[in-house]
Amino acid sequence: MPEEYKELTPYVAWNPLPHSEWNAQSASHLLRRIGFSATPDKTKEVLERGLSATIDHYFGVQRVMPIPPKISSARQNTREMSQKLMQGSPEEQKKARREIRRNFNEAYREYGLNWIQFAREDYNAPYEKMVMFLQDVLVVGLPKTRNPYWLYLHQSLLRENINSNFDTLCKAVSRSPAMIKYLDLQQNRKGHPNENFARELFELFILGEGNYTEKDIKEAARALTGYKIRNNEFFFNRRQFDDGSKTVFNRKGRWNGDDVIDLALDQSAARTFLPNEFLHFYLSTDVTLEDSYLKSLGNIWRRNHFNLGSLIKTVFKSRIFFHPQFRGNLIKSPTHFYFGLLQDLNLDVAPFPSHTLNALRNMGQPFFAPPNVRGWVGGKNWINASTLAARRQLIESLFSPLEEDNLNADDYAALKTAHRENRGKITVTEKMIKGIAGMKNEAMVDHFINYFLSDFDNDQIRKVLMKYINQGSANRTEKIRNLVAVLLQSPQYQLS
Amino acid sequence: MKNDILQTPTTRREFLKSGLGGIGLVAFSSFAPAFLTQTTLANLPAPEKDRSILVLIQLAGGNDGLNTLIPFEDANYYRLRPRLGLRKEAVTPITHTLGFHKSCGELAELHREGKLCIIQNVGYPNPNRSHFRSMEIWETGSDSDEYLQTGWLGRYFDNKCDGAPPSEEPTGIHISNQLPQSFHSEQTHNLYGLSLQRNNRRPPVNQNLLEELIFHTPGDNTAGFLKHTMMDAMITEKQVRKILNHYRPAIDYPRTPLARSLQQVASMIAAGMETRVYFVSHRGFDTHTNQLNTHAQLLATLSQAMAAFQSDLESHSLQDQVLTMTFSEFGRRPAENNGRGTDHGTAAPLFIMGNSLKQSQIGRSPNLNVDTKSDLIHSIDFRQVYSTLLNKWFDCDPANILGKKYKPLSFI
Repeated sequence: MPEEYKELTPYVAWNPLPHSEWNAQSASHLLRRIGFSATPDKTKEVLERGLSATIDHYFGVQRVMPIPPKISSARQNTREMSQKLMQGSPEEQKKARREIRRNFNEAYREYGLNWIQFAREDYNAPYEKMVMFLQDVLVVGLPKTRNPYWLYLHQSLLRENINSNFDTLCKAVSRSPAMIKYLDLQQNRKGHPNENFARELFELFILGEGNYTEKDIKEAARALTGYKIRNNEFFFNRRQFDDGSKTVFNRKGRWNGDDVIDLALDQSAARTFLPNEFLHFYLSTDVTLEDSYLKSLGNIWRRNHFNLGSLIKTVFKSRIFFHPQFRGNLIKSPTHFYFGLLQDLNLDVAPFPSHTLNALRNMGQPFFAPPNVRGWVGGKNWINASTLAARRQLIESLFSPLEEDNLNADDYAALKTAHRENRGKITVTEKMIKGIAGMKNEAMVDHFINYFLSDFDNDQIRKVLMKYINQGSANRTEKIRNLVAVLLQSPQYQLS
Repeated sequence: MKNDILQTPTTRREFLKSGLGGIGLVAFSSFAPAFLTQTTLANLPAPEKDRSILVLIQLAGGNDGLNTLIPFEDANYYRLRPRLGLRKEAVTPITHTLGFHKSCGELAELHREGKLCIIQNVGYPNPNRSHFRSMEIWETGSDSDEYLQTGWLGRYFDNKCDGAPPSEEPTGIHISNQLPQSFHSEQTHNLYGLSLQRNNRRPPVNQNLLEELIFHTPGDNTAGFLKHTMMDAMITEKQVRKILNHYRPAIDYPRTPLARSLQQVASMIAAGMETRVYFVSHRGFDTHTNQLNTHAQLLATLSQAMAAFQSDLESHSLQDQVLTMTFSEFGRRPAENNGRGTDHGTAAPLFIMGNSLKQSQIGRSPNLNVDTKSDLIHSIDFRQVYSTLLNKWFDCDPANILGKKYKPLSFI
């Protein structure tokens, strides 16, 4: 691919998009990239609001996701069970362990569903996508953490700090119970270091591989001693803290954990590491911008004290972000694909945890359970035969009538509640399709293409769809349904 | 373009190359289903009946080699591992100084029968202790300060498949949610992935319309990648669905994800698929804390699954065609840590399983006369193993694929 973005100089690249280039295409590109979809209505709204005001609208106001009820009760319950675990007979202990597992599992499922419902809302979507980005850098996961309450705390912490400086966020994350558990920070004690957290802090959170020595890690691990979890909260155990002198990045001192984070952020690699991750997430997984472009962005970020809000603004308003080279060619993550579908089709999230969470799992992105501490690599890695089959299956399920008789009692009750609360529209119904069936074929096909696809050269697609809709005399509603369902399975719809 | 409308392509590959420039929509739509049916005949005789197949088992997380193969007469081992060291009684000895972890009974038996070769102390110079970087080094076959974009098997596919008669069947199949880096290549190959979860294997609806949309997607950049992947997937899916649904293993596999993966591999090999490389993953080896039980479980799963797979292959008389190899990104530190676990280390043993092995052990146990902060020094470079496989098993010049010459081993 020719690196066309280089027609912008490294300096000009990060300047704001000229007003003359702010149009419907740029507005829909912005919406698809910061969020999950760009329906014509929303595009119009954003176009009128303007670029800067749109960024403020989506990122400027702190969002709070309420604690899922079962997370609350699991936390309470676990405390009682822990008593039994310590004092009970072997039989009681076994029972308590089972009970905790069951509570955790149910709480995780409810949490996953609640988050999906929260993040699918148009107003929250870009904010929560940013939370996902941070979750993909400052990674923790269910399999090792086990406790869904800690996952909730961790995510809330990321959400609270979306506009904070990065050092503040890193320091908070080093105290996050989920992280302490995930990277064995509790086992890191004076005289008995466990380097797991220190290594990932440098390699995956702040600097990147190759920008530190093994000795830096060993010494940093000593500074990060004494971090514990007590009663679901961070607790600093002074007696396990190694108070001695350490040399990290050639600087000697009686550093503590926060000092080490500051020292790492002082390294020049810190200026470009996170911005580069950010660009891989939002701009292009395939193209890594040339050093001069990254450095230019990194310097802006540092001048803004590593403020995450400033990074968001700089990048999403920049000329390079809107460069034609980067339009319509980012492979949607499973979450992006799923939420985008729901928003595009104007559907509510099915209120069935297993249904919803399995869809994400089968597409390769189980909720809060990345494959490892590196998180999801994304891009072409999302796509293989089995994840593609899962994407197709999801679409089929959204376009097939719900078989209420097959629901279990919990799901049935959840559906009734959803209907009562007017959020029970979970599949595309015949009625919805009939609304559009009066349109002329040509106009209808154009409508679908404009509605669902980024602006490509879509002539060939148009021809195929026209041929399909014109031929034969089968049930028209059925045909429209098939046409849309298949269009959403096409290569183009997998791209953003 | 010299497309002749009468010259219909006969293979998927030709079809792709023709780019549809000269084939009208009508011609295409009547042509596609037949073409697709043809490729789903799984029982066509394979062009090479005695083709050699390699199955890789990735032990993700860094397997603790010293607690897999235990040097139970070495006092240093117990000095370094006062709590994790496995006593002689808890070991299945294979020599008077070395034994398998007791969870690996099946592997010990295979070793005794000459079907399992142990290659000791495998690693590479200037080891990297990051999971990802070290796994990347293993999968790309690079030096520790060299960054390669392609995997060692991907480069094998590039070399081997270019110019080879086109095959309708996948060159490589992985059973994992992500394409392994080992498979990354310069050229696009038909690589198929099965997910670890049980798939709903119903045929999808509206297949024809989707096929047309896919064929009419412009064939460049990311959209082109999606187009090719989707098309390959659709074709292979039909075939694989049929194979998996009809396979009757000769023995009962254990009920573990790894065993299920290997059973699926066996079914595809038994169906005569032309695929030469299979990749399965067994994860959870990153045992920083309380590792004794976890590690015992992981090894038991590995040992039982491998033995079941080998015995299934034997029952189908396929044992001569298949070699199975384990690998992990690194071993663990010789000294245990303070949490009854072990931290990221360097060299470790790997296993080769098959029917035509010439040796059952290569190399010696690592020297453990080291202090508690030290790491093992590898004695065999993992690329010597690759080189041997590429040369003797796949019959190609390893220097083309690995970039330089490595001293071959003689296990095959």
